[in-house]
Amino acid sequence: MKILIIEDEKELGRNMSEYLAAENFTCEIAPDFATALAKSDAFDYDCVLLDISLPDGNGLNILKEMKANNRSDGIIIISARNSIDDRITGLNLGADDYLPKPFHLSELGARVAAIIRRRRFGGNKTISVNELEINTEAKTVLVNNAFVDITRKEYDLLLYLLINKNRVISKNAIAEHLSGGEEGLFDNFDFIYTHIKNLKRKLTGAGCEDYIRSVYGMGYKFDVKS
Amino acid sequence: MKLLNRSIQSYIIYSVIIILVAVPVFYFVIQAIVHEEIDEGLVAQKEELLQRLQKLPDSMFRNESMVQALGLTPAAQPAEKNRFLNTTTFDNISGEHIPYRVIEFGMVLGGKPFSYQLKRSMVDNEDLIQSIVAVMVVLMILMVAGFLIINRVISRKIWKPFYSTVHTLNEYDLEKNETPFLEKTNIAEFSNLNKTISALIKRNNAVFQSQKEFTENAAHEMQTPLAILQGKIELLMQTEPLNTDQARLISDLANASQRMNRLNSSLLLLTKIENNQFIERENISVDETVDKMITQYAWMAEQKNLLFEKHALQKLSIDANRPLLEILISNLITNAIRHTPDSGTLVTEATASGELIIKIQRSMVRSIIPGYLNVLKKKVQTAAVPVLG
Repeated sequence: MKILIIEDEKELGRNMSEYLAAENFTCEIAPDFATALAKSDAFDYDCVLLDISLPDGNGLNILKEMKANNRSDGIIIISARNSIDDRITGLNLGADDYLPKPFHLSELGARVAAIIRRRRFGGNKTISVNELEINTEAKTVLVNNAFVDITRKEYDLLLYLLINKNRVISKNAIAEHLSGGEEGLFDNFDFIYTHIKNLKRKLTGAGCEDYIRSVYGMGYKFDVKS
Repeated sequence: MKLLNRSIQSYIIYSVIIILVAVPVFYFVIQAIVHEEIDEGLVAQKEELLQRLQKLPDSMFRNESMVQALGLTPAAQPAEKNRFLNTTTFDNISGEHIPYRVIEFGMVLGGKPFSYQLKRSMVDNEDLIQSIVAVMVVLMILMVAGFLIINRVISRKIWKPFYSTVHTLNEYDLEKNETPFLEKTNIAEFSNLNKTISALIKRNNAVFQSQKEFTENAAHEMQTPLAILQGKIELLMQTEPLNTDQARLISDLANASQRMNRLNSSLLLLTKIENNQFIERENISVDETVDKMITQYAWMAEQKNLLFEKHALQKLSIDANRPLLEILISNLITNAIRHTPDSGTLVTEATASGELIIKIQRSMVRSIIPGYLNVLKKKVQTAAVPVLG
């Protein structure tokens, strides 16, 4: 699957492509407006990550151009300006999502996966790993084809870990994801620990292998050898 | 007090004093002049009378009935000087007391001293004085009134550009980034004032604009390196092999960078508030906002097994900026959740006096975090710091 990263900051572009590459995405980086316009014009991408403040043009114009050409690529706007106006403008122009800087790479991974899932029309709405299966439409979890009763937060957590599988996800990223992007709500990560503990208990109780590992207290990892 | 009234007030006080002083003074001066005139006439009359009396034969003055008929009064001493008197006599015809000016003088006739009184009615003169004074008073009042009216009209005209400038400034909104049009005026002071104001506004706009740009730049300049840093830390987490020490260091780095992110976004929010970039006001129901926030943070409360209780004595609503009010209330609620001990109860209360109170209840002890709405109101309106701690 192909992703176009339109980002003028070289290091940030590399961060994103490096992280997404591990998910078997093919990433191309367009560091300026002209390249971005040329690439988005010439090729189809599954997802375009669009930084709207580029040195030689406004990224929103690329978005307008793509929409004018009836392109169906998924588009996530990445912006340093986290203002409601920008968000509304971007989404009104047809972007699929809006991710304010700075963001966690795992959050980016989850958003990209969500866009790609949504774009697979009529396709498979399930993500499965061995005996574990998540239906992203019904928001249900099955282990060996049997439903597991988990809470909404536990579902979010499991999906987040699964999408970023085999990668360490920091506690900060998990906390931010679960609280819906709200910052500064937590003095400690006890609540993550509680959620993880409950989730592990429910999954193993249903006969699922214990995939979720704590990594040296840095964060958690959905560990599955393929 | 208006400037216009202020200057007129002094004029009015001055005019009243002048009228009160001038009218009696004028009356007495006119009266004195008239008396002098009458006295002069009386003296002339006296001289004429003396001349005629001296032509009479001396024998006449020895005859007492003759003396009485002439109106002469025998005197003990021959008076040297003229004496002037004011008397009144009752007049039977008009039924009034009529004032007279009287001259009393002495003379020696036929070797005998006599005194004599000459009278002159002052009725006509008194009337004249009164008429003159009345006309004078009317004239003065007319003059003062006219003066005041003219002054008022002229002042109104003169101050018009000033009031128009004030009105324009009242309507002026820095956010809109437009230079208000100040009316042209011929009066040097006002045109000077308008020039100064225009220059000030231009400078203000420029400063505001650059401040806004600074905010945006700060956002962009800071957020990007922070995003890079955070990304690198996350990538570092993925490297293998890692040992416990390295993992701990990476963890600390991640926490520090997270804190930096939070600080940066708080700073940006504060700058935005200080730049008054939250201008849109709408009438917001505080109850609904509180309910919405409570729903949003219900999961946090669940974590600590907290109960929410709501006592709404009345509907609260204020004019505020929605995003700011939401930030404020969500900060209050998350702080309250954070500080409530496990299995406690959080009470939100809207009091009759229009305050919003968020209380924390433990089993027995009651501690209160009051978020007074009037304080909140002020904070939201002056767009000051949202309550953070």
